Amino acid sequence: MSAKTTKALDDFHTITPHLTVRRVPEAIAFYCRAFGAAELYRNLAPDGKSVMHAELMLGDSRFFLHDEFPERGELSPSGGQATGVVLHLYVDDVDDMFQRAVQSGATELMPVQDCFWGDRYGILVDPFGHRWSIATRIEDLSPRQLQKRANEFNAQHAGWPEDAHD
Amino acid sequence: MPGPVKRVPEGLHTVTPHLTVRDGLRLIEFYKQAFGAKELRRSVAPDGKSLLHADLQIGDSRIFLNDAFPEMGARSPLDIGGTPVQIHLYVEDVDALYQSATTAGAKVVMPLADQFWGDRYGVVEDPSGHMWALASHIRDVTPEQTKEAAAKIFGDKKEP
Repeated sequence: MSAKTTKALDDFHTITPHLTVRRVPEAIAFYCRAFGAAELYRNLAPDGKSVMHAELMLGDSRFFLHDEFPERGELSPSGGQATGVVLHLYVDDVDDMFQRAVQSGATELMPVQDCFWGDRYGILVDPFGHRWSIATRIEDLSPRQLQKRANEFNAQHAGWPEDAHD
Repeated sequence: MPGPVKRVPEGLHTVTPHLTVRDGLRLIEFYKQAFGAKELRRSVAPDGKSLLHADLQIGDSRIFLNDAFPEMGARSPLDIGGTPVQIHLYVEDVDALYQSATTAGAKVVMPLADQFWGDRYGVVEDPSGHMWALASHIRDVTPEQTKEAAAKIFGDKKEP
């Protein structure tokens, strides 16, 4: 493979989320403060205001941002576009990051708590309407233990009998 | 004795997209055909139909899926009418990926073509309404070159 095509191989994971946001510069500042992200690249549209493309590094992962372009149907959550994607973060200290995010202006949707699947986990919505779940693994469970925990949880919370999965 | 728990589990990156979908069990099969996804785990509700959670591997990355449960606020792009997050895939052979995705039934949103920023790139929509950008990097361009090319393409659309 020639050096010219190393970008995808060396710098990027296979999957990179690409978020539509309103007020990209403010969003970049928020993601840097809240999640410790670093800005790698920002490309302004010819109007000198809209951000056509920005790249951020968060832990070992990159993500992309761009402004709303309503004429292309690209609306952000603050522009009224609800979201069916939660950006999930695995980090060393979920409590620390969650607290930093809330202090930076995020809103808690589910407080950080020990969850049955072995993660300490919480969900928040950022000031631009995107949803993030943040987690730290606290217990390693075997597939069998995990299934047992899930059955117990579902029996308790969804009223499904514990043996209903068998 | 088990070792200490790895706080970031093996094989997981910092960022993993978690998608709310419709008909997740069928969609898993679509992702296998379209994107070469591998299923690592699934948890299905006692009704045998609702997908509570699935872990899939695509290339070196994971995605999580769950079915829409609108009464709990989990809605798919089909329920919502759009999505503000695209899932971007960088692969070595985007033509092959684009072919398998469209053959599997993905809807073309932006046909695959060489783009000014140095990628061969196209966008498809999956049966659940999620948007996937498919790309290979084919040419290194400097930020200045990208800017010039963008100005040529979009320059006439300057806002007043």
